[in-house]
Amino acid sequence: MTPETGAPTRCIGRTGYTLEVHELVKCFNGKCVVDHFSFSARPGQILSLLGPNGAGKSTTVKILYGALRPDGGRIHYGSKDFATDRRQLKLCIGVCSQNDTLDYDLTVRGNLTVYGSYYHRKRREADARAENLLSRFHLRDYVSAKPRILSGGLKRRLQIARALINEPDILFLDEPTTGLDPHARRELWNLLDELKSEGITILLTTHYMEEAEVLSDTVIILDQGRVMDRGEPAGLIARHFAPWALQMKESAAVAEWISAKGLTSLRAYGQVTVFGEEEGIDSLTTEFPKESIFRRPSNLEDVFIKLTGRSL
Amino acid sequence: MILRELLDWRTRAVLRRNIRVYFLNWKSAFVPPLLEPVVMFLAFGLGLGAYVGGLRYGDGQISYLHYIAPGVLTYTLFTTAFMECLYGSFVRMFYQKTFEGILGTGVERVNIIWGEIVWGAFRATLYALCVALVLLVFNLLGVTNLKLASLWVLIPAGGIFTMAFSSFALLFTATVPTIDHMNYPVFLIGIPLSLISNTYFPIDGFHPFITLAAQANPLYHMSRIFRHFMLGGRPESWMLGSLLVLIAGNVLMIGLAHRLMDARLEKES
Ligand SMILES: Nc1ncnc2c1ncn2[C@@H]1O[C@H](COP(=O)(O)OP(=O)(O)O)[C@@H](O)[C@H]1O
Ligand SMILES: [Mg+2]
Repeated sequence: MTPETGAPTRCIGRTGYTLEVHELVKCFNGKCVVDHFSFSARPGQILSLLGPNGAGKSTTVKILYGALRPDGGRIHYGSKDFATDRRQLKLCIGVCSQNDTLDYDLTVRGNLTVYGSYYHRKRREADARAENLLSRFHLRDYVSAKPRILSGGLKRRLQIARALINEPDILFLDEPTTGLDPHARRELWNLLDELKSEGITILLTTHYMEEAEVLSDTVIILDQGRVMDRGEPAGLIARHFAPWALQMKESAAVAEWISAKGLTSLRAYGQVTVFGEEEGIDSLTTEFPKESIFRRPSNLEDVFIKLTGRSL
Repeated sequence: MILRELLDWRTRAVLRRNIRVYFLNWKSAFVPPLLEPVVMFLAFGLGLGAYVGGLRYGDGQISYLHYIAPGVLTYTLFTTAFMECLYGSFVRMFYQKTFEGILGTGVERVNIIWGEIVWGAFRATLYALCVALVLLVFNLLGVTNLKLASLWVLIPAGGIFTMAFSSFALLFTATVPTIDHMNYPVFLIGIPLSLISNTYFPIDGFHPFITLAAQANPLYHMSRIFRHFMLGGRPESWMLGSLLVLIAGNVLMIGLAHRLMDARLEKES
């Protein structure tokens, strides 16, 4: 056992790669829900796993923070191998899981300080850190309350604050905004931006393509355990589509017009989406004046539909 | 390997969490263990005792109250640990997702399991101390004449072997799908086992098969030892055999609990 009193504050570090995952595999009953998954992340990066329910996002995250045993693959944090140094590495990881795992037997403050003890932080150190987080996450008014009385947005904030009690180098956030109202969601986005600027690596999972687009430095699109594509959001979209999209009801006339113009299009759920440069597709509006046409920039959802044939 | 984890800071952190929660609710934490034995003594010892009269014990006669006083103590050790690690642990694991949260920290599954085992035993020990206080009052009132000084050793030692009972409960916690299914182990296994143990009534006159089976029940031996000392007995050689059963019970149950709970915790993470 390593002598871990006053645990090291930096066991991963904030330089080089913070996380490198190689050929990760996890199967349940013969079905592989994580299928040879590789990626890496750098300090101060937000990396998003974007995919529908069941894509394997949570399974991946749980393996990476050590709650699930993988069936294959290697994980490195900084220069250290998770397979051999997991106990030390776990002290430098913060986790906000998809489930609400707040400790309802403890107060809001207790949730933070007791979690400090799970990282072997000294009582005084954890107390000071907790006070700091309570202020920063605007939880001051609730310190002595039980988390049960908190709103959904505040619960999430507390769970994220708790994940930071050990000053982690890497933070896992599994669908942190699912179920939050738009205001709380945006607040959280700002918070993540702040954390990122401190050099923390953030691995985020989400099924909101807008969220992935706004927040991430890198998006990995997952479906049924497989990587469909990956890249920096704007670049990823540009690789698949022209910048503008026009969306309208599917019809033979429209289909003919599209193929005559040689434009890219997507058909899904009775709708057709045409992609092109601004001028190229605007003539569609004049061609079909009676149709109701919705114009917007192309987005990650289009990419997802193209890759999987389904909506997110 | 597993044994070394018992003393690890991670295990202590889980244990401290449970102790902290317990003392946060100290009113509900201490009133029941103080009241329950009083009710038990009044109902069984004085009420039923009036009908039962004396019991043959060794070469002499003792009152029913003197017979069950040690039984209530060991029964308290058993039920407190057993119930805590059935319902308490299950709620923490399944409904509150407390363990899932903890597994995202520096703490490992093995530490959570140890933390629960030791916590069950520790809580049981606290309860037993409360019962001992009640017994002390009875002694002072002249209702009983028990040798309570022996409890300074008996209760902590009993607490250690109570880990077999908390581990036993974790076997069910690790396997039942929902909390409603807990009734089966409680009523089919837990309660019968705790009764065929010399706690509330002697089983010497029972079918030989039952008296033989009771030899494998740690609670039976614990009660026997408690009773022996609390009625003023001195150390005797049969206690070595009892001690062996208690040790075996701990090793077997703790080992099994770790094995089953580890699998369950991975599923529940
Ligand atoms: N413990 C488990 N046993 C069996 N199947 C599981 C288990 N955990 C997850 N799965 C399955 O693995 C797939 C991926 O799940 P998950 O990683 O939770 O997806 P996501 O987080 O992307 O919604 C799902 O089909 C789910 O049913
Ligand atoms: Mg998930």
